[in-house]
Amino acid sequence: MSRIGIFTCWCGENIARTVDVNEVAKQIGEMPGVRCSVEYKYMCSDPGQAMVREKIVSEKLDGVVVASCSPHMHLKTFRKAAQAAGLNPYLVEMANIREHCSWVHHDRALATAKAVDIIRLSVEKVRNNTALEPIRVPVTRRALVIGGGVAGIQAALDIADAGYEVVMVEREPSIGGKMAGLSETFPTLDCSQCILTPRMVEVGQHPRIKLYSYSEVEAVDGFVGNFKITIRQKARFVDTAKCTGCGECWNVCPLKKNPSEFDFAMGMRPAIYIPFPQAVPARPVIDKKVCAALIRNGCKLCEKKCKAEAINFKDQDKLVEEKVGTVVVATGYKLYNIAKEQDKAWLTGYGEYGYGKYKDVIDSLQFERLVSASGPTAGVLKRPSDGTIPQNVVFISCVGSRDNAKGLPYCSKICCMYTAKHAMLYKHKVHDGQAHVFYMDIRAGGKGYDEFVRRAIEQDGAKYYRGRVSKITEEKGKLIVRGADTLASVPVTIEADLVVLAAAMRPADGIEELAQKLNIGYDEFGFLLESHPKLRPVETNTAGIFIAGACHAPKDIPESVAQASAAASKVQVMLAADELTREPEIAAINEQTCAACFTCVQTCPYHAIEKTELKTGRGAFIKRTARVNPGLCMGCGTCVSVCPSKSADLLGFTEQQIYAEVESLA
Amino acid sequence: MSGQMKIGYYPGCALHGSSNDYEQSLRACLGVLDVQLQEVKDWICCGATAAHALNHKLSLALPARNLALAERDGHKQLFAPCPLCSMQLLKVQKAVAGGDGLRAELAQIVEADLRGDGQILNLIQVFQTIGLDKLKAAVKEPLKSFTAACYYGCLLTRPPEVVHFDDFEQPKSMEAVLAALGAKTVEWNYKTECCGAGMTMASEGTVLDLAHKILANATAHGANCVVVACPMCHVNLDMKQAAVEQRYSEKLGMVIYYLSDLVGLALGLKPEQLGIDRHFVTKAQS
Amino acid sequence: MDALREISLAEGLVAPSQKPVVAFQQAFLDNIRRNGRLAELELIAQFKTAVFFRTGRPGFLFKDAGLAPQMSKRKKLHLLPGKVRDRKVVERIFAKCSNGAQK
Repeated sequence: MSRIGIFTCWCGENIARTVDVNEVAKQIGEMPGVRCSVEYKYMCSDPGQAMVREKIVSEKLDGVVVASCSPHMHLKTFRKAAQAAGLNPYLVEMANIREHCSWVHHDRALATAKAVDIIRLSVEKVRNNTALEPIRVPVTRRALVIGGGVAGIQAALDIADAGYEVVMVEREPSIGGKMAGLSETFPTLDCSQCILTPRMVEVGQHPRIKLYSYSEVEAVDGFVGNFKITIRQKARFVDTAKCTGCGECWNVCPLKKNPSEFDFAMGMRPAIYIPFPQAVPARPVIDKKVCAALIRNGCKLCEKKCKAEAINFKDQDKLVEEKVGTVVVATGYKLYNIAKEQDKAWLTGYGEYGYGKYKDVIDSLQFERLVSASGPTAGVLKRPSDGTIPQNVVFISCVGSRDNAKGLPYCSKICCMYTAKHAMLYKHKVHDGQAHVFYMDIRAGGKGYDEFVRRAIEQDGAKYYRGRVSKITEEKGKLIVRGADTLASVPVTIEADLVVLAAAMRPADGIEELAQKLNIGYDEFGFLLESHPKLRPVETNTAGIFIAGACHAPKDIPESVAQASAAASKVQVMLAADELTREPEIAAINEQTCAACFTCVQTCPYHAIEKTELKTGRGAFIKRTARVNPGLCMGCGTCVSVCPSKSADLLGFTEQQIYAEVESLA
Repeated sequence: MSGQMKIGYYPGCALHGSSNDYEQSLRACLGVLDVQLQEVKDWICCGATAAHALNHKLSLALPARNLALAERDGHKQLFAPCPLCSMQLLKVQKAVAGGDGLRAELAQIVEADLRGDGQILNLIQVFQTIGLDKLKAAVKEPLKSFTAACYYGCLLTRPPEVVHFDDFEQPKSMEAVLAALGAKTVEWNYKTECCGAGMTMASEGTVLDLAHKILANATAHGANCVVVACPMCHVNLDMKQAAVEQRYSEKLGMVIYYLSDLVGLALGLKPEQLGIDRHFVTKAQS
Repeated sequence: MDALREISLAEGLVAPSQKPVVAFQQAFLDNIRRNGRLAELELIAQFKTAVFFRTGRPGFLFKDAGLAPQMSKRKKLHLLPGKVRDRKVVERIFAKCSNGAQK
């Protein structure tokens, strides 16, 4: 490179206050190979960019260094400008003399000298830059949505309505997720199923949505634009093509007393069952753990009754392959298990609340099923122990959340709102009942949320005590709840008929295994990691995989829906063309010198390096070699550092370039 | 019983003072079980509540001296029948294990070498060490007429990060011992509620109110006796029962047994051998 | 909790209803400082006298007096506690823990 242009920016006062920009431009202009060196107040502005374009053309520059802010800010801006002027964008470098210099130093002389050094490094680098072309990756224009809750449903509908095929995988027998089991939703008190089931039906009937229900993602191969997904369709023992959903089978099944998963054990279901009447697909499933026919070849009453001959006791799990270009993960949540058995060593449960010991201590999802019109008690709120109507109900917030000592440190976000909702629903059903809520704070930040909580207190007479509950015991059929009212500075004891615990939200079971299959990050609680908490809330660090809903963090339905649509729009950006372009600053392996030790294959965190063979034109074997998959490589450089034969290098950051930079300082 | 068990023994002030009926009881019962108790030579008070309430360093030093003496006497296991003593000894062990030069500092204060690595046992743990199936095999007179409310009080299971013993919300270790003896136990709600401990003299009203709640709840859940493993709990529930009855104008008549009393009775010992006749509330009155 | 107790004592902020408790605990510590182990009768005597002087009510002195014969009958009253041979070390321990910083 011998015709390099240097463009030094004042950045208003940000750089010029500490660095003598004119002096810098003068000194750098004297470096060998520098064709021109100019300065301007705001290089990123339109006139600034115009200056860059003009100089590229007039001085026939073959390399550009913009000395200004961090490349995170404006590298794309200047690369575009260079490209517009006919210069390969990868011949543009940015020297950061703001975050790395003027913003962290005070001494003008020293800072100016340092700025010159920083730019000198970039000049050496640019001298050795090669023109690179963006990598083009073909795209399978289909999307996978994992999870059929409200977030998954929204994402699938948005993508399918935009014209792309969607494969949806849901591990329960029906889609709908937790929202299908709720009674009414805040802040409007809409009937949850009434607003969700039309969407569920739309998914089930959409010509471009392929629904795999009662299925799980078994394996994930490939890379962005080219994923190969293996799906395990679990055996239903019912042929969904023949079955008409008439219901004769589950009516005749003699094994009626199995705790219903959908009702969180508040009700029972038969061995052959449909989780709820509005299930999509409306086809039953046989529970192989209890079915007499499957265990000991007995019964088979359902088979006899089925006019469509849809029962098939010989059914097996099936593995199916689907090719997709992008994935949206929307696997939802589960509640913290308040009883003592936990799946993590550092969780200890809340034995003091007697959950699991006393029948009338339940969690919030169980309460939803008890008040739901389609629930096990047809919406009549009955005590699980004796079926009577409770006159005093205690709601306890923050069970497991915001607890550094023995729970989870984060706030579960939705509980303050649904507890107020529960208090209201209770009052609407039991007019002379009294709701008591023990809380730490009230978090009601959404639209209409605070007004909603005030309604529960002012119109529906819920009593709110600011304090925690220390112990729940049972005396003569009543639950003695001992807590505190810290605002009044008195202990409070309530004789309750029912206690509802607002348990913490955690990601659904199996999230860690799924994240590992997809190669996406997750935190110590299992929540999936977004690319950037502020600016990239639905992307992950793995290209082509997006997240939406409660699998990312505790959130309510409006936010889940919004996130799902956001993820869908990201998917549409990716699927908009037949090809994806990726930045070409990735690793490359010199296949002549590669010794095929494959250390790089084992170390690459993105599984982006393959073992392959070099053959002659007629197919004779020459040697084995490692090869970088340009679709997967993220340019981290790990392979470069471990390669013993120095065959791996990073395009745009070659070892030669880095040495040149270092030597320029000596 | 095969093989004699030798363990260090730290009685504490209560057992050599007005709770010496507890010492009589456990010596008689453990004697039958072939457990030899070797009293720590020249032990001193552990500091009880007074030390930890008024002087933090003293509350570590006094138990530390006793740990050092027990180590000097060569005891790998140290039985402390009073849960406040055993909790303080465990507290010092835990503090010393945290590093920070505390062990050296305490050794200097108590003028003895201190390792802090012995095993501290409460009464229930002694029976667990003997083995509940061995205990069951040695039972001569199963306690069929006893329906007991097992009362743990504050210090057998708390603070959980210090004593690491049993489930601190719903403990069951004492019930397991009683089951081996053929006794019935009740599920009740005051297993781990405080009896007022050392407040007996200074704040008697508090103790009487708390004791009343405990005794009333045991009665309400069908118990015909209460079992304890702590001398203070025994004093507050037994010696003070008459005052509770007077304050609440109720007849309670609830016999309070030490756990070793019931083990001894099941092994065939007579009440007088165990010091049961020295309780304030006896079977004759209830 | 204990930290709050020590702070309130040092700052003279003990609630009046709790003063008998503090008096009891101070008497307890004095007792074991002198004797190595607790001498119960001595403690009771010292405590009751301290409270009597503070409140001027003789009733407290004689409360529980009826318990004495009951305890004696049950051989629970000991005039003298078991002796600690090396009592001086206890005094030295107390001295070292009472100087300066009480952490």
